[in-house]
Amino acid sequence: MSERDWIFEALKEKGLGTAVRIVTTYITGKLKGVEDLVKCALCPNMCKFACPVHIVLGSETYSPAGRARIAYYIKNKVLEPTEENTKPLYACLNCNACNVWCPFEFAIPDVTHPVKVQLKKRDILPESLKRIEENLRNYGFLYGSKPAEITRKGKVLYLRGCTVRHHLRDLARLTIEVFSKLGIDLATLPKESCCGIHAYYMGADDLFKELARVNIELLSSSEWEYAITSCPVVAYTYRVLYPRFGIKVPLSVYYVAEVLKDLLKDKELSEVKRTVVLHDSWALTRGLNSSSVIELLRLIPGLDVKLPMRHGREVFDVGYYCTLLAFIDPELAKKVAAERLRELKEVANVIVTASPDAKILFAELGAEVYDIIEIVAEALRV
Amino acid sequence: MPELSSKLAKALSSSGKIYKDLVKLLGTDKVSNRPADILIYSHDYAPINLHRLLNLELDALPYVIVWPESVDDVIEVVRYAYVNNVPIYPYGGGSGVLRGFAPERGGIVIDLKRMRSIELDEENLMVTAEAGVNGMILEEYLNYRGYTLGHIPQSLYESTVGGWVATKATGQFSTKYGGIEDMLLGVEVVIPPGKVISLRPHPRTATGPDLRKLFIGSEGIYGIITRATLRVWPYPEKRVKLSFATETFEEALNYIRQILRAGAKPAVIRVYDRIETLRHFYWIEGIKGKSVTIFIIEGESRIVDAEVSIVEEIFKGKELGEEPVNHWLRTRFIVKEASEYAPLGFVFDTIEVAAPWSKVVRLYHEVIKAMNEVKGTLVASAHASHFYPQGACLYFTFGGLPPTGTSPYEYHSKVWAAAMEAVLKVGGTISHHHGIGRVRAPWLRKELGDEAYELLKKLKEVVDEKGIMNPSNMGC
Repeated sequence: MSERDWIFEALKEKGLGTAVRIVTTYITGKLKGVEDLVKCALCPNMCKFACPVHIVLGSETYSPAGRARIAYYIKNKVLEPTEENTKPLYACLNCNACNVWCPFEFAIPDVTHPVKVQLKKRDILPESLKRIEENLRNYGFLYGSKPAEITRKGKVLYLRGCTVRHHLRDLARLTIEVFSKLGIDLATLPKESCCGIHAYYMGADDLFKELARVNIELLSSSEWEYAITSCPVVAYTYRVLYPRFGIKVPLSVYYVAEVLKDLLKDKELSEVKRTVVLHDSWALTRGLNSSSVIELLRLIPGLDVKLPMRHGREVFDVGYYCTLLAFIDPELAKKVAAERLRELKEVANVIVTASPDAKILFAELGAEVYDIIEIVAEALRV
Repeated sequence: MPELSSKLAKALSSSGKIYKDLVKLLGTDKVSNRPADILIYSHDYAPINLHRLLNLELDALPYVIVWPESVDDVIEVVRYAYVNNVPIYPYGGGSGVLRGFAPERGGIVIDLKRMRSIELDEENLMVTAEAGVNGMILEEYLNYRGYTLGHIPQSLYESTVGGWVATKATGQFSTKYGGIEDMLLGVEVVIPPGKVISLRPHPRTATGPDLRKLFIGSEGIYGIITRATLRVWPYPEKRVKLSFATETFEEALNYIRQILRAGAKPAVIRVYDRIETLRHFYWIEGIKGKSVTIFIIEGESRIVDAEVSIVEEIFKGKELGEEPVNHWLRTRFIVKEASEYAPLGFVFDTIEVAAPWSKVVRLYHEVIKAMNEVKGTLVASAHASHFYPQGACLYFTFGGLPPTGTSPYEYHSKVWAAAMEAVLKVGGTISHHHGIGRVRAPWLRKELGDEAYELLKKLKEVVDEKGIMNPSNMGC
């Protein structure tokens, strides 16, 4: 018997003719036609407890199904697509927390995406995001013109990501030193462009594809064995979003921990005597199904790694520059971070994270926070 | 322009003064009259509302939404509403299924979800949670620390502590842990004209009529629940899963009656009728035409062992092992049908009722028959999922296509009327745990009797003399 046979069996009691008519007309006929947006809008919102923005605001409008309903009302012209009315579509961490609990395996950024694409085609975008779009179109860099850099040569390409290049340059330098200590020279390219995820979140698919094209062209050189990145969201974009748009990535792109956990396996490491709590990144745990960060940290002698209540695939993530939140509502991003910080601090005072956004936000809130590369550097005495 | 846009414009034009006044009291961050918020806070999750949403026929738009962050904020809102005669509609998780939340008269929606502090008292096995704490977050919080509340309604992921108390909720593990009324030790409520009633938690108290019970199941008609203290349990040391197939639904019910009579209290017992057995367990070979029963028995291992031996001795069905239970555990929160079938025009709903053992089987047959007799009904089925030594809850599901010329709302009302009348005829109770709301209100007088119903209305007048608290809910 199959999943829907019970319907036919139940309908048979109304007569075989009725059963056949209903099943062929409705069940097997039209069912596939219901669009994702409608399914999500009609759902009881069983994922909302996992949505960081919803939890912090306490607002149904910012719950996943709430956002789908807003998109539905905009699409059906009940709501004008004003800046105020469309904000729930953009003020999202895009962290896919909803996806973990969705019976349809939806993620709200994807569900509302077609409506955002339609709005973008009508040149409708919140003012605060227009500057970001301009930066990406004009410079291929989230923050405007790219920093002056020299080309580094190496066997492995290092995609740093916009936020690491702009806000966390020391992290990039340290990553290069860590890999150098392990005998791997990292190549960097001043021309490296933004991965384009912001364009996707804005519904600017043409821009997203153009940024991807530029990046793929850079990656197409045969110089490199593979690429690494300090930004889990960059790894997610290359490995999940690009293929979704039919864009073939010619090189494997790994988040640093995915490579380091293998490179460090037989290395003699110094003790890092510290108790830390891990703040995972959604892009790794949910997006790429990777537990590389915890695997890496467990290799380091002396390091006592604790896990908070919400971790792994269920991580309550934060988001800033790698989302649209830093531009559309930075205060909201900080509230979400403060909420997460309270949970982390119940476990340990020192935080280790894989997320550049989390490092920036938690540091701004006064926490002692390390990127995983800083812990690895300590263990390698870099 | 859709008609809903005109309704929205009307709600917006009515909201101005209330919005400005509340902003003065609470600040802009806690108050909204944004069009998006007004639309979103116009309904609960009553399945018939899906058609209203889909067809852009929402009929109850509030004027203003507030998100209080403390009991003092709630007091301010209630005081303002009392002085200005503005209706207030409390909102928790919005998962109610009976239009208990429906801001028909505009007014103020008060969403409690920013009030979400949790305080665990391990020595006394109590947890105090503010009303807006989400159910799943509370359960995860307790599990992380080695405890459970044992309150696992299907709405766990959406519903809130305040909503549980206000609707007299119960959960899937109720046969062991009880309903919310068994868990509630203390409660804080804000009533008009802005007074706080704070009933402290005690293991038991004999201090006159139990006022806590006045608010359990009150569905917002007396006041706003702001905090509750609930009992918790150490996280179960052992869990045993059993399942059986029987030839009939009735046979399984009879075994369960005997098991409870013997004093065993499995946390979960669920018995599915023939249709629902096929719906959930289609993958079991030869299951067509049978009835499946699943059990979860959990707690301290010696007690669990004793309960398992009672169940195994009494229940005579064919053993199906753990997998049906695991299947239920994996799928119990998956609610896909609503999204899949409502857009195709199907109307469906669930109706949970209860009766003493002597009436349960008749109740099952009469309600199924009544629902099937309504023109348009295609499917009517049931399972039994909450048990007591004295009786059981039957949880019915119906689905159908409104006949030509009948709106989904009319068809829905007809099935409800048929089911409610059948329940009253048999002598069952019209609600086991979803509550009354506006959907069941027409039958509440008949359920309670004239004198009790009048008392309920008088109590409402005493506590809420101006009738501002969730007016018209439960017919009050």
